[in-house]
Amino acid sequence: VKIALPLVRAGVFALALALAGCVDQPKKLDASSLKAEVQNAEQVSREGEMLLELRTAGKLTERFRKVQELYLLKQFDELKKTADEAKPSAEIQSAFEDYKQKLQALEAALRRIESEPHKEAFEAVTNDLEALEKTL
Amino acid sequence: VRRIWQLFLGIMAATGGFVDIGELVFTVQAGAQFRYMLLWVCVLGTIGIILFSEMCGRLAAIPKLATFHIIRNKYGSKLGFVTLLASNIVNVLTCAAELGGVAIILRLLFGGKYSLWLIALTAVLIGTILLLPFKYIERVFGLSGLVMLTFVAVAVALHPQWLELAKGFVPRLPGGGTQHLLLYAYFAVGIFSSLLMPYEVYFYSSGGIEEEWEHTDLPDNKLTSIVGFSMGAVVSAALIVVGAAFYAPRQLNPAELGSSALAPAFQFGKVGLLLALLGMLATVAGSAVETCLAGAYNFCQFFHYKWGRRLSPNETPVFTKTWIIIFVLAMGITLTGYDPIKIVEYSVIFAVVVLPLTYAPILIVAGDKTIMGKYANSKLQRILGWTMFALVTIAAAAAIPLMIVTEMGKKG
Repeated sequence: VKIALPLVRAGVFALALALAGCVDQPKKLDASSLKAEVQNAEQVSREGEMLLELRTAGKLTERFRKVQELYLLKQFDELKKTADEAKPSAEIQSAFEDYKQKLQALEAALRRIESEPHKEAFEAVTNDLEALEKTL
Repeated sequence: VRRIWQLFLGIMAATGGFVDIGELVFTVQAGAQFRYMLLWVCVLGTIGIILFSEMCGRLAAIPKLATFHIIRNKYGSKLGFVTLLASNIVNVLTCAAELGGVAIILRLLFGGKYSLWLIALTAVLIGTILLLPFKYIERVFGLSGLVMLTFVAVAVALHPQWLELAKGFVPRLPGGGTQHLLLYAYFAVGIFSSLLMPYEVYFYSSGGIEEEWEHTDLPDNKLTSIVGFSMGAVVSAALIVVGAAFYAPRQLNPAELGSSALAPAFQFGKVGLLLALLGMLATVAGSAVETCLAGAYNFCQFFHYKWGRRLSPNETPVFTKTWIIIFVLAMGITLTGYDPIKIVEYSVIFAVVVLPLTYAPILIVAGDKTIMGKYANSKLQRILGWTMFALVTIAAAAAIPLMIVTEMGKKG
């Protein structure tokens, strides 16, 4: 016990340390980190587009589709949270505002994915985000 | 005929059990980002796992030594314990990621709540290990993992660019600046580590002792490791090809397990989707069992407790409690809500740091003629083994810095 206890403590500490790394920290945004966020938003939009394409072609089971759409919404919520908490630097302020607008369009497309499945809505958001990415 | 049948089943189980959540995460994403350029890492990692597993099999058959017997003998109690601690932290993290992965796949298949699936599947896996003999545990999950061959069919059906694909087996650097190069290195280390995950050799080595291998089993050991793992590597390579041929042209980065199943759905419709999900379910659940048992094997071998599924739980109380605790601990980590995909990325990168500590004593003892006699490593095995060890050490040194500078593969 004399040997085991400190070692177990060390193990728990190491495990806690490893897991602490999994926690996302609030971000200070510069041009490169904003670009990464824009790329992540593009991913969500493209995957929404792909889900709709496969859904329309009858290639997805209903359960898979619903769960996958929920994952997309979860990913979107993370993007939105990061954007809400982020502190953008002065030189990217206008690009950041633009990005937040695109996020709103993406949110609208995602919320309508169930009732009004329009692939075009995602295509438009993806194109806008790609255009924004090129400016960064 | 019976022996050939048993050998065939062993090889098939090794094939089906080869892929785990780490490979699912790293390979498809690597294909999506670098197309076929990282296929050579698949070959390199497979040579590594074949070399070390075959050595572990020989060590189990001749001097009847499991990995952590060797580690304690070679390192002594202090460094040996550090290795045990590091290995088991990685095992618990990997097991947590695998459990989370299975719960996600169950949800994609049947709906329901993630946390309820997690609790139910942990109970089912504990029950399965308690009820089934070792050979059946290995074969049930390994053989059902063969459904992952769906991804090979998808890869072929996607009509990949075969010339580009062939070029992928020759190492070359990507263009696109330093950050892109660092991202390439991060994925190379990730694939390499996921193919060489230390729990695989702990499990293989202990499995040899569980099945009471003798010198007469050495040809089977060689065939199982060479043929079984090479066929398993075809599935890993197919995942890279799927990433390159389906996700890369669409600029999609499949960061979720469900996203990896979109390609089979696209190619083969609902049947493809279901087969892909079932294959992933079997192989990831099998890996959860292997990591959990590997952790208990390591602990008991190091502290000289009786261990093994060939003995009843009453004869091995510490072993039984240890693997149950590992399962519960892993479930607890996943229940806190950490994303299993993030956990697996950490576990794969931390695993590569543990690899040199695991592989050095195996190489030394398997090459020692006073212990192995005529079964000691040949000159070729020594050269390949130490070359692989050097590569593993380089990867270990680079792993954590690469993880930091690429923000876990997101920046590049």
